[in-house]
Amino acid sequence: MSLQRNIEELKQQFEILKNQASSTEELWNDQVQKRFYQEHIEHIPHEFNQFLDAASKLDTLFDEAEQKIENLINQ
Amino acid sequence: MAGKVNIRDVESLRRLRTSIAQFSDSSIDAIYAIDSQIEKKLSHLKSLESRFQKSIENLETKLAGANRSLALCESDISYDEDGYPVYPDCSFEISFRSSCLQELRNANNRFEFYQQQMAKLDMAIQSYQPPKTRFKQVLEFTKAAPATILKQLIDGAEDYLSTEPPSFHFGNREPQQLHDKANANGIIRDYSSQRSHLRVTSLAANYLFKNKAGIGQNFQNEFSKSSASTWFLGETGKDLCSVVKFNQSDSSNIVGTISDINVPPSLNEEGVGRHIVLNAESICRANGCNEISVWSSDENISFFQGLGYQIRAEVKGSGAEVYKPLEVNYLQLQGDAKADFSTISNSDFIKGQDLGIQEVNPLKIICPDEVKDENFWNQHGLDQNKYLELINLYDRCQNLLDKGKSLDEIRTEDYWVANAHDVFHGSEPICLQKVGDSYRIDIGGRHRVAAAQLYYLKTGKTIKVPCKVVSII
Repeated sequence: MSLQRNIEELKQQFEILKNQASSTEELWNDQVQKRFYQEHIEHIPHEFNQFLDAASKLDTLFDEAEQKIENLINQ
Repeated sequence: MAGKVNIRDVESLRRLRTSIAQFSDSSIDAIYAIDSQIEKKLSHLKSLESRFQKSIENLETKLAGANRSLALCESDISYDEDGYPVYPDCSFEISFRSSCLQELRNANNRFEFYQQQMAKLDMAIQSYQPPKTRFKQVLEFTKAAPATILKQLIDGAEDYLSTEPPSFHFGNREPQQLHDKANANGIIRDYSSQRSHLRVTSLAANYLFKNKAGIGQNFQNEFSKSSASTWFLGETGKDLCSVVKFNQSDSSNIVGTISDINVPPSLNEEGVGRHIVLNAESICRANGCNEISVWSSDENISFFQGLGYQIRAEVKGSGAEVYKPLEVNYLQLQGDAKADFSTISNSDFIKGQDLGIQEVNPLKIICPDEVKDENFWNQHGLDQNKYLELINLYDRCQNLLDKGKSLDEIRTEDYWVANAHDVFHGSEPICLQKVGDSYRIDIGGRHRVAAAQLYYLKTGKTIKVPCKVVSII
């Protein structure tokens, strides 16, 4: 279904965020900063990956369905 | 209170804040783009259904024709010289009919297969929704909370494990601090007893109204599409206090009409009737009414006039319709502000123009979504009434300043009035983004903005608040 472009863009933005977060995290050393990561950064990858996974699956299914339906019409 | 956070690399934190904003914006945009593609593709595939159906219809017609040809052929029986019947050769018609039948079966199979594919897609789209919704919720949260906290960290805020709101404290202020301040001004007294008590109502479903004796009474607002009713929740049951009906004559004119006002016998005391009418006014303001009206008996007309109502349609010896125009349409302003920001993202303001501190009409600021959260007002250990009191005190302070008093003089006379000024002009300003004549909260100040908006709904008074404004270029 050509969601790939959106997915790739999202991955790129996520990489930027990840790099920025990890390079910042190394500089932090107290409980407040750790809690900030736990509450606001650490949970992003999980939901992000779940979403990407669901979007990729949907993309594949749409591609297959479109191909099959096109074949049916051309028969 | 814990010690200061040790920020080693502020620039790095700023970049992180920008990355979070960009990631949230891009992701939300991507979700919308994906949703739009899904809808487009699905709609295209659904439109193909008619082609399959048409093909089946055509083949059914063709089969009917083949059946007719075969029947015609088979009926063409001749007789030989001996009178025996000679049957025609219908092998072509039989073969044609058989081929039509097969084509129809194939078309039906194709349609069935198409339907299976569409059902599979529907299921896949349904499975895609929950992770999408969860991710969206995370993004909305991520957009707001970390940016605010990072701002605190960047500014060297104190440990947010025990974050308190900007420097204002009401009833719960530690006694030592209170006395220190009082002694510094040479005045020793109980400030809390001198604070005015707002007797405004809440638009929340359940709320407590304190009568003049300070006794709390439980009320409940129930909202439906075209009316709102207010109930007193007594120990023995519920009593209906008022019903407001919304009548819309056109898209921009809504009139709220109070159709019933009843003061329950157990509450037959001064102040409750007034409270019921003020609560009805709040409901009307919150629902975009341009006017509130009610039929009043002769003896109650002066009561309504005391609340600012005007008279029309008077019936001598009976009563009159009394009404009050509600000049500002809060819902309209909120709708305009949301429309102004509908295509604007946070990253558009990264290089925005700093307009400095400005006095802003709070009704033009998009109301923070978190207000819907039942714990919103208690997030900093305060409550809704404390915030409303803050707005009231801030208004009083502004009036005194306008009359030429200095802040120090005001502080000496009433510390809390001056303190309200400090809350808005202190080190934690409300930071807004501006587009056209509308505003959106950037960082901090959600409670103060929401309080100023609620104060308008309760009292009809718009108190402008000082905000640090960044405009889109």
